[in-house]
Amino acid sequence: MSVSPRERFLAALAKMLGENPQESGPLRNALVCENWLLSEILDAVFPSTGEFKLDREKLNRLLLNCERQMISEHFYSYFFSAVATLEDFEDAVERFRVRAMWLYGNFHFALKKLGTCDKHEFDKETRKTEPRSPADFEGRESFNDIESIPRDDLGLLGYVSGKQKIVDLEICVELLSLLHDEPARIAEILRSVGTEKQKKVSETLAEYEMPFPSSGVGDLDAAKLEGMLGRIKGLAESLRSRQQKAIEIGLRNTHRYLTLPHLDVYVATSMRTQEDYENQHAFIQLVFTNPVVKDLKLRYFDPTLSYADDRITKGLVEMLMLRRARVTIYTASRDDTLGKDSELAATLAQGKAVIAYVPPELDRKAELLRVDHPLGLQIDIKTGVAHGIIVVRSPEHCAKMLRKVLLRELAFTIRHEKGNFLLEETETHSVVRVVSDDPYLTHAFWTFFHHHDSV
Amino acid sequence: MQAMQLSVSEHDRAVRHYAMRMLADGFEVKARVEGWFQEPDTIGGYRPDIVARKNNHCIIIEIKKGEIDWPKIKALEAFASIRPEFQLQLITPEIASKELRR
Repeated sequence: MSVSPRERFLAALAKMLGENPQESGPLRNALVCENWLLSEILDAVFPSTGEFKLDREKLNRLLLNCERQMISEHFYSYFFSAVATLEDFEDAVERFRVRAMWLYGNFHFALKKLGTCDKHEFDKETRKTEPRSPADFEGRESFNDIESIPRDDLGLLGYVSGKQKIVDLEICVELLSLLHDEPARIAEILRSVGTEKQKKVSETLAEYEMPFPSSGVGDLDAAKLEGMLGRIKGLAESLRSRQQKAIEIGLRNTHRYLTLPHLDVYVATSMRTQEDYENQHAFIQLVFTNPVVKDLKLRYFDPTLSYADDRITKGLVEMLMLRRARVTIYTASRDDTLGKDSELAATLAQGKAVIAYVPPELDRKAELLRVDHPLGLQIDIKTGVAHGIIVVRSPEHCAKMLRKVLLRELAFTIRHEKGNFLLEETETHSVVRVVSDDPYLTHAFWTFFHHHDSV
Repeated sequence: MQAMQLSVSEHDRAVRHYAMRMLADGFEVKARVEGWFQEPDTIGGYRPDIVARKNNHCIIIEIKKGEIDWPKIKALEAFASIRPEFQLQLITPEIASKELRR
């Protein structure tokens, strides 16, 4: 059965009010006037000539009869001044609803706030949803402040990939020295060291193609130990020196990051191995040198080039970077870590965007983050608006969405699913805002969200 | 003249050196060397660098980084002074540095 223009109009109006249109009458839950009066107003909107004649006065009469406050001239002008047809009206309502979800996470409140505030406040609020000029970014100086570290040495900044590697080598140096200094005691020393540690030494030395028995004395003798010791000492010394240089650069970079006048992007990663460091660094390079964002001269925190001596300093530095940046890029991996995941959640809780890059081989992870992940939706602790993440699958796509986020060029559609309105980004199909359709939950949520009694 | 100090990395190297030496000498060793030894228990709120045990004798080895370590050393001294089975061995930065250069 086809829906009449009047029913379509009333359904759109109901959506604007934040009411779920009812089959028995789209405005049934909101209307306070009698049906004859509603018909009279609708006759004026849909005259017998077949035209669509809406103006602010008629819309305000309808709002009044739905127990809502009347809307200002600037509100009407911003959303409805170009409305000439029913389709235009439906589109204008969708534009309003997108802004309502984006800014307030609540249609009812959005109509009250935007519809009745003064012009200055209205402009301030709607500006937050309008595209930014690339010139705001392009006019800045290029971002060349951060020193690079040789790719092969990036992992030396990490605990597992750097510090532990050197510890392992130095334990080998110590054991080989002991054996070398007292060749008569080789068997006795190895017995004292124990099979577990000897096996570990053997595995460590094997990484450098130095055969060492994993148990017993094997063919070890003073001459053989002499050669091994010289080589392993040289390796440890060289690794220590390279690590020292990488750390010095990493510490200087941390100081630079701490004092940057702007920070646009924080990159949340977890790195354990040399390979992790190299992959993350390559990903970051691919994103920020992409022509789509290069001209924006973005300031970004590259964790592969920053170093702090201890976990507390590192944590504080990263928390500040996260706080200062406008956007977080989260790089998903097979095994996620508490630190990285909490950075994702903390960004959303600050009301800022998260772009999650999920590598091509992790399809299930991408779907999990886009649809189901418990951390994928967090409320902004200042506004109560539920924020979701944007999922991308390639560095190029990441750069493209980063530009759209920063310049506010994202496009959206609204879906209704399982009792919730979902604001979906059209290119990635990521849900970035939600509004519950449950009046009981909505009432309790907003009542207690704004309730500031001490706990 | 200013007293000698060990950097964190020199200190850690010295801990590895003495821990392995005690191990080779037949002691059961707990040391602050991640991935290789079990950590020693805290003594008076401080974790010593190495605790080596053989028979009923325990040696607490502390590698001194510099003057900054005095509260920890006082706590370890107080602990060892009333326990005859424990012996505290303090390694000064000078000794550790010389040992590492060998």
